[in-house]
Amino acid sequence: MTPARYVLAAGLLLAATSALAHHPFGECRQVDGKTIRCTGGFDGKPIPGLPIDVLDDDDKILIRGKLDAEASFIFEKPAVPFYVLIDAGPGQVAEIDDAEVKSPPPR
Amino acid sequence: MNKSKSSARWWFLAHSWLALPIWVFLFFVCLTGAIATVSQEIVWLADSKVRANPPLDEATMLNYDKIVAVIAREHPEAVIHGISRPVKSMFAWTVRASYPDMSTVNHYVNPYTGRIQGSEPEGFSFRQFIRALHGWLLMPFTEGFNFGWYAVSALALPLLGSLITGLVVYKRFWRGFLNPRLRLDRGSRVFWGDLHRLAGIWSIPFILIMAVTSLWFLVLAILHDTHIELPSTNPEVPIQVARSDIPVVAAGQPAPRIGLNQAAELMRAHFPDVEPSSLNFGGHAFSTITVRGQGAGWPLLSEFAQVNPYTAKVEHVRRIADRSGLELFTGSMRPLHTGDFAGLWLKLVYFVFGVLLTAMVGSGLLIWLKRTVKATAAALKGNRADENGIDEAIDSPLPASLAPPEKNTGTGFAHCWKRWRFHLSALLLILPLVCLPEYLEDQKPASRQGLGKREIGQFQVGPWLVRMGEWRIEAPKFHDGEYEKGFTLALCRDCTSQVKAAYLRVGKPRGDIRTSGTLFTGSPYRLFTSLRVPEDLSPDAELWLTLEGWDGSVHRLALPLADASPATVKWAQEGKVK
Repeated sequence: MTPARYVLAAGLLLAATSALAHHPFGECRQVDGKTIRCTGGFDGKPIPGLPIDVLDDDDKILIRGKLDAEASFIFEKPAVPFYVLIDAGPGQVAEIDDAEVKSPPPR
Repeated sequence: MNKSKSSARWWFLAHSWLALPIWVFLFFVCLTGAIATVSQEIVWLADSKVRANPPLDEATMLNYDKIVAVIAREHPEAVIHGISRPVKSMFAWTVRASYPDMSTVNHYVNPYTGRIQGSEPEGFSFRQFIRALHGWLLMPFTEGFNFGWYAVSALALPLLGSLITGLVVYKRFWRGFLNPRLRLDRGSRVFWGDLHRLAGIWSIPFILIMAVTSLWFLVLAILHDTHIELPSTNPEVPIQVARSDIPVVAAGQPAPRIGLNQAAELMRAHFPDVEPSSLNFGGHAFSTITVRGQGAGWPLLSEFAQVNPYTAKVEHVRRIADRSGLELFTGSMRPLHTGDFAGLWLKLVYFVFGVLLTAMVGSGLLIWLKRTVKATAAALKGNRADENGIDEAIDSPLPASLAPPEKNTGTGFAHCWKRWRFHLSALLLILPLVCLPEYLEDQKPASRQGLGKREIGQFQVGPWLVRMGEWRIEAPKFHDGEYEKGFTLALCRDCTSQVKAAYLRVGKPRGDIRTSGTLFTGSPYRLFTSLRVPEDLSPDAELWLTLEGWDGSVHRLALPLADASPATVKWAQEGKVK
C-alpha cells in the first residue's frame, strides 16, 4: 500500500493522488511464422482470465479470447495488420501493435 | 589532572542536557497522540454542527437516499461523492461534495431532521492537524514515507525497550496492582517517582499495544520504501463496472443508477449484521458503489460490498473471513493504535491511558531534570566534597521504564550513536515548527482547488468545453515499472451530466474506445489522471484527450506535448541525448 493510500485509508486526505495509478501490461512474441503468443497482467503480476482481443486496423475484432491459466493466449497470426488489447477494465488496457510483436526466442 | 577531570565532568553534564530533547520528543508524541485519540470528540464538543442531536418528539433516522437528496436539493450544482458517519451515533452524517469552483465541501446533515447543520470546505481541520502533528510532525509526503513518520514510529523501539527493561528492573511489579503507592508527603522527587512506577504498572497493556502498533507503522514504512509487498488476498485487478454494463442513453443525461438505499440493501444481504457507515459513489462512471461498515465479528476492520450501480449486481464482497491471518493482524494495527472501533467509552479509556503514559514520560523527564539540575548546580559550586555525590547522581541509572535499550556502550558505534542521537532529537523538535507554514499553506482550501501547478488552457472538445492542467511542473516519475505524469481536467458545468468518461494518452488512439489511455477520476470539476509515458517518448509527441458521452459519442483533441508539459519535453530531449 502506498503512503497516500494508507493515509487515505486512515481517513486522512493527501493530495498525493499521483501515487494511485495502476498498470496493465502485455507482451506478444512470435512462436513461429504462423502463431503468436501474448501474455499479460496487472501491476507486475500475470492475471489469468483477462479478456484479450485481436483487432484489425479498422478496429474490427478478429479474434476474441481470454488469458489461460498461465496468463497467456496463443492465436494464429492474422493476414492483415493488427493490434492486440489485453483488457483489465476501463482505462486499464494494454495495447500491443503488430510492430511490437517480438521475434521468436533464439533456439 | 583535576582540570581534566573537571572538564570531563562538564562535558558529561552537557551531554546529559543534550539528552533532554529525546524525552521531550517522546513526551510530545505521547501528548499529541493522547489528544489525537479524542480529536473527533473534541470537535464534537467544540462544534455543534457535527452533532446529531435527535429532536425530542421524533427520533427516526432518515435513510441514505434522503440524506443525499438534502444536498442535491439545496446544492444542485454539487457532485456528491459519498456519505459517511463515525461509529458513534452522536455524529451527523458527513456528505462530501464538490463544486464548480473545484472546492470539496463536507456538509454535516442531521440524520433525524435532514437539516444541513454546517458546511466546511475540505482543508485545515483540528483532527487532521493533531494527527499529522502526532504521526509525522507535519512533514509533507513526497516520495514514500517521510522522515517524520520514521522518527515518530521509531519511538516504538525505546517504548518497547522501556517496557521490557522496566519490568526487569521493577521485579514483582504486579504488587503495584494490589498495593498502589503514591506518596504525597515525601517531596516532589518521591511523588514523581511513585507516579512514574504506578502509571507504568497500570499502563503495561496500553504501552504494549502502543509499542507493537507503532512498530508496525515503522515496519510498514520500511516495507513500502524497500518495495516489499506482503502477500495479499485483495483482488488482483481493481473491481470496476464492465463497459458493456452501462446503458447508452440519450444525449444530455447520465445512465440511470441505483440509489444508496438499494446499494445498502444489497450489501446487507451479504452482511446482515453490519451497519453501513460509509457509502461511496467512486471517482468515475465505471466505479462501483462501495458500502462499508464495521465488521460484525471483528470490529477492528470493516466489511464491504461493491455494487454495480447500473445492474444492481454485487460485484465484490470483502468479509473479515476473506482476509488472511497476516492481513487481519496488519489491518488491525491502526484501529488498535487509535482506539477507534468500539465507541466513545474505548476512546476515553485510550485517552486516560494516553494521558497516563504522557504523565509517565513527563515524570521520568522531571526525575531526570531534577537530578541533572542538581548535578549542574553542584558542579557550578565546584565543591569537591559534593563531587562524588554528583558523580553518583549522574551515574545512577535513568528511570528504567523510560530508558532506551542500550547495548555495547563501549564500542565505537555505540559511542557515535550516543553522540549523534542528541543532534537528531534536537532537530526532531524543530521539524514541526519548520513544516508548519507549508502544512498550513497546503491545508488552505484555496491550495486544494485549481488544476495543479500549471494551467495548460481551455479547449473545445466536440460540444464540450474543458480546462486542462499540469499537476506538478516536473518530469515524469518512475513508479512501479512505468513512467507516469499527472494531469488534471475540469469539465464545464453543463458538461458534467453529459460526459461519461475522459481519457488521456500519448499518441493518437485507435478507433476502439479502449485504446484511449488512462481514465480521469475524481470530481468532474477537477479530474486527475496519471498518464502513462513511454520511456522513448519523442519531444514532438502529442497528448490525446478523449471524451466519451453517455450517449456513446466520442470526441478527441490532440495537444502538443510542448503545450501540455514543457518539463516533459525537456525530459524527453535529455533522454535522447543519453
